[in-house]
Amino acid sequence: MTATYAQRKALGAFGERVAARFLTELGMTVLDRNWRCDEGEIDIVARDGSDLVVCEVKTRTSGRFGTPVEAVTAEKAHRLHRLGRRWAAAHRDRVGYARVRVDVLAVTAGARGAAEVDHVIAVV
Amino acid sequence: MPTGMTLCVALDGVTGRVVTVEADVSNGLPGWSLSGMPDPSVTTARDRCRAALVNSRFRWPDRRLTVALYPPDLPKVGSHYDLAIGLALLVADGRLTCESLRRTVVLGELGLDGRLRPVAGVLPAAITAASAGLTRLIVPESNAGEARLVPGIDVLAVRSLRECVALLAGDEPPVDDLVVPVTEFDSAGPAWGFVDDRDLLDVRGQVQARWCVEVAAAGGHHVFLEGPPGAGKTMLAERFAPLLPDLSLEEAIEVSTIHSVAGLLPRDCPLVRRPPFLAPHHNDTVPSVIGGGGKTIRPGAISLAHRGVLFLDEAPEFRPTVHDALRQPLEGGFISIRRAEGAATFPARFQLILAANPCACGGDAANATCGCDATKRRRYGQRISGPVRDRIDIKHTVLPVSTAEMLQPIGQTGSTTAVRERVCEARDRQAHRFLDLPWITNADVPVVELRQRCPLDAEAARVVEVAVASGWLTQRGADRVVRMAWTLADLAGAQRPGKPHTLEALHLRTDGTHGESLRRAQVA
Repeated sequence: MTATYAQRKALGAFGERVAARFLTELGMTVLDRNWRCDEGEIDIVARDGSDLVVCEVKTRTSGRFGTPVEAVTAEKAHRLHRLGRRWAAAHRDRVGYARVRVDVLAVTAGARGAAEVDHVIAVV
Repeated sequence: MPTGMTLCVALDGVTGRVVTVEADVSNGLPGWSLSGMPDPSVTTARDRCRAALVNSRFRWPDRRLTVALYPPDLPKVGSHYDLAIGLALLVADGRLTCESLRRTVVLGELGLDGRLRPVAGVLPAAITAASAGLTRLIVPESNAGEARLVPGIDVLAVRSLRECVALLAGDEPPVDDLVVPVTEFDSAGPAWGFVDDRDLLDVRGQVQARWCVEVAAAGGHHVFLEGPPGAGKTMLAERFAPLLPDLSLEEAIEVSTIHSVAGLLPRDCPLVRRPPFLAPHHNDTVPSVIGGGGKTIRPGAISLAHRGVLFLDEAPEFRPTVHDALRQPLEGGFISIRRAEGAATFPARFQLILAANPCACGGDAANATCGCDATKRRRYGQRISGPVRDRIDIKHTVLPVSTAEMLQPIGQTGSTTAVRERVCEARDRQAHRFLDLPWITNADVPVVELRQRCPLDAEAARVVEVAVASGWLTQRGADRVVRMAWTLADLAGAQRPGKPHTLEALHLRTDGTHGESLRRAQVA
């Protein structure tokens, strides 16, 4: 069954909500969500101690097309890091000169039960 | 997270070295690095491991994976590292404890569904593991037979990755095993293909040739049968291996080790108990005969014939390289194959039987079917090099059987069973003489030991001296005649060889050209 655009978008939004809650439970502060610029989009920007964390959220319903974490290539991770620095530059008043880190959150939404989150810290 | 560590074995010829497989799961984007000189057959273990783990319902660690094989300077070839790598990853991922794999060597190739596939070389790997003081060996079920031949090591036979993990974790073995049983398409059957129902009785006439074969079997001597096509050379040679006694346990393990490396051990009878019989064709490639091949150096026919019989039919047709390569094993009982990337040594103590036509045309000068001149015939014979010729103990010209001989049945004393009994008796005498000594047959005794331990009496020694002085024998030939004389004495049940035995040995060696004709009637 192929999901419609609306279904895919809803799944993505669900994953991001789960991820944001997961980060908050870890003690991190979510600063921004779905921030866009001409180079791309950051799903979640959070603060972990002194680090500024750029989070990429990948949501899947099964492992049929590879694991979610695998969908993030090294190139993509570097682009996210660049985006993170741009976000910091745009919000210098709020965060100052923080170190930028990229995390990947893989959310697997099963048919029933709670979604599972796999948190890969500091891929860049 | 802990670092996973398992043990495996790298094979180099028939000897092995224990290899440590370390696996680490660290934070980062999914990736894989494998170090320690892996061959592509080892590098692809990642794909097999991943499919096997996922299909066995284990989690594939979605992180940066680092696998290292130690020692790093030793090239690793083969798919038998799969299970060791898979288990090391499971330890690193926290699914298994490092303790559960302590002093345990793991061998096996993983199928994509998590089944364990049999691998070659389990027997030598088990020997390596046992002599390294390791106590447990995990092998695919189909390889368990050969692994259990090695004393002093516990063998765990497993069918699938799930079963293996359950066993190590101390859980109940899975009942709903995901591995669907399929008919295993095993490797080609055994390479030694003698059929036991071929009896020496099938060969009519050829009294002298039968005797040559019997003497050769009794003392482990090499034979050269020359004669026109259709005289019965091949028939005799094919009936040679059944004349030999069973292999002792030590010999059987030696032979099975070589066959294991070649991946030729049958599952149901992992121990080669009968002397193998190998008859390579003259068109076979040089590596297939003497050993060699791709990245791993595989044993050739001469090593597969270790403790058995190597039969070269149409010997002059073999490439000169093959003849030259025979010199080392004929003298030392082993073959070394050296290359830029490494060397391997395989045992190759075989009994050589050569058969040849007198001429390349396949005709017989005696009945005018060969019209070739003498020079051509001589050249054909010379294709078997002098050094190899000099190491042949028994040379016999097999003449065509007359019609009268064809019709005359051979008595039971000429049957395979009767000959084998006499051969075994002679071998028993040798075994008694060589008690506590490393050699088995007269042909194995090294020259120095031969002169010290097995001297001839004065009269017999004189025969050899005269033969050497007359130029009929080289010094090596003389030593070989002494060994043959002992074999003849053993067959005759004599305490030690006398003049008649020595003369007959000389006679057999020189195809009746020299020495007395002492034909024995073995036919009732």
